[in-house]
Amino acid sequence: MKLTRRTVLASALPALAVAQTPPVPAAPDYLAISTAQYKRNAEALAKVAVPVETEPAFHFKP
Amino acid sequence: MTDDIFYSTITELNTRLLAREFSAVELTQAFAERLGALGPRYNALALPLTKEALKSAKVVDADLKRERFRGPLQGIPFGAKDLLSVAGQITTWGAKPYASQKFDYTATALTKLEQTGALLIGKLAMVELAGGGGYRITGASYFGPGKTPWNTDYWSGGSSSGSGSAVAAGLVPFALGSETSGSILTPAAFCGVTGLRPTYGLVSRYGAMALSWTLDKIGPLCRSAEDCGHVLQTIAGGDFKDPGSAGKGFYYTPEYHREWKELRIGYAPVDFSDWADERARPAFQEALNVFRRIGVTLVETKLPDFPYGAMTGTIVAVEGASIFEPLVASGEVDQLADPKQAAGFREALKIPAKDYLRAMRIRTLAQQEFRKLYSDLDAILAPSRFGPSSNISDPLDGRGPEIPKDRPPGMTALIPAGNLMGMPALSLPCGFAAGLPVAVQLCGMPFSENLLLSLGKEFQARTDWHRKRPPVG
Repeated sequence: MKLTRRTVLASALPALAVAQTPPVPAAPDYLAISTAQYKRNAEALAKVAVPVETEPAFHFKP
Repeated sequence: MTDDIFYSTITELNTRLLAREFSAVELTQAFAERLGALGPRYNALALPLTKEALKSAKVVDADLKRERFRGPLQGIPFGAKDLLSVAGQITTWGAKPYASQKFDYTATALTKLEQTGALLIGKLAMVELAGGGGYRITGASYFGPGKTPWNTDYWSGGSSSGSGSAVAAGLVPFALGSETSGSILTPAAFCGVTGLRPTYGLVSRYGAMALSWTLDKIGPLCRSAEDCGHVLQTIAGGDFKDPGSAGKGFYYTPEYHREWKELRIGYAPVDFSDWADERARPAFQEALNVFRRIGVTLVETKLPDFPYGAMTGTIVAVEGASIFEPLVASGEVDQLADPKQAAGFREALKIPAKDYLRAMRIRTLAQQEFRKLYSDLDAILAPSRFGPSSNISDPLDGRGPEIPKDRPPGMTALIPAGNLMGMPALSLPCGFAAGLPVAVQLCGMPFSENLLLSLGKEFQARTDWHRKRPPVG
């Protein structure tokens, strides 16, 4: 097979295109982000001293 | 009819309806056309209900002709956040998995408005599932990002996004929204309208999407504090269909307010000097000055020290994940526009019961401290949001000021704190920053709506920020 400049260029183009494409940033790991947030919440709650007689709030009357 | 009607208050429209300047049918037609034409510009319209509204408007006109008066909302068109069901109509909750959902019953708040002659002309867009999974993009909605009419490159706020922008752009005279933690106050502030978050349990949530049984509230977004009072009077009241109902009604009586000089309003100077966005500080300072001129006593105060954000985050996550567990189990949760929301619901199912109950027990302790705080105060004044809206392309993770641990936090946690305590709050437009509206909030003890509304009415008698019109064209 005779190699011309055109065929060489054509075979190299896909590689060039790949090389010129900026790297796609990895999608954020939303599960990990959510887990970390809930963990931070739990840690903040753990710092509050809760007397043993305290019941959960279920009524919001004045 | 001139364009003025689109920016008239409920009282003004009602006066003109009674004077027969126009009929309820003509008024409804005018607003419905405007909502249909301009609603999509702000991604505000979820579902037009023109045909049904015009049918009801004919009944209103017949009633008015026979002098059967039903109150200031008679013949007034309005919109409702698309988390409120209307029998036989699509109710999407702003989310693709529910795009064809229908109920065979109507939300109590909408039934009450219908009975007084108000006319529902459309359902309004919202953040998908009211943002319960923790949204991080403004486009977290089946309807696209809500846009403020003041600049469509900027967010309307959420999750009652369409309710805020539709009222601001004069597409409806008032709208219903809902708040779990900031979803009325935020769009009210970012769109420059007056918003009222009622006391937990004062307005029935029957027929509304549940996100958090112990935090959800339904409330109005209007052109003025006075309009909020009229709407609240109509939608408030006990309802055995809502287990959280307080069994109380509300009568709007601004004329019986206490002497201004008797009122003690708490505030944190650091909010106005340090935590507010620099561009918004002049507007917030001037709002503070207006309250001084009204004659109330401003008292430096601070919130009881509790991890409000962590409490709200845990409670909403656990209650919301329980409610939407079938959505997660089916895998349809992945159809949500914001993948962070899907992840948030999934991971929340793993939060231990001990964390949820700890948050609820700390909530009890916080309630006790708030009772003490309010024994010396009538309300707290603070920025509704600490700056103007952000660009719709900006992520929402970094909302709010960064508070160094060694500095006083002021009232930066007032939105989650007020919601946790079931307290009412009124957001009042108070100026502009970078061409976008900003607002202050008054937060009072449970069932103190008349006090907040009276103060709001007086504030708005001395300012005209609530009368400003966005460049709608």
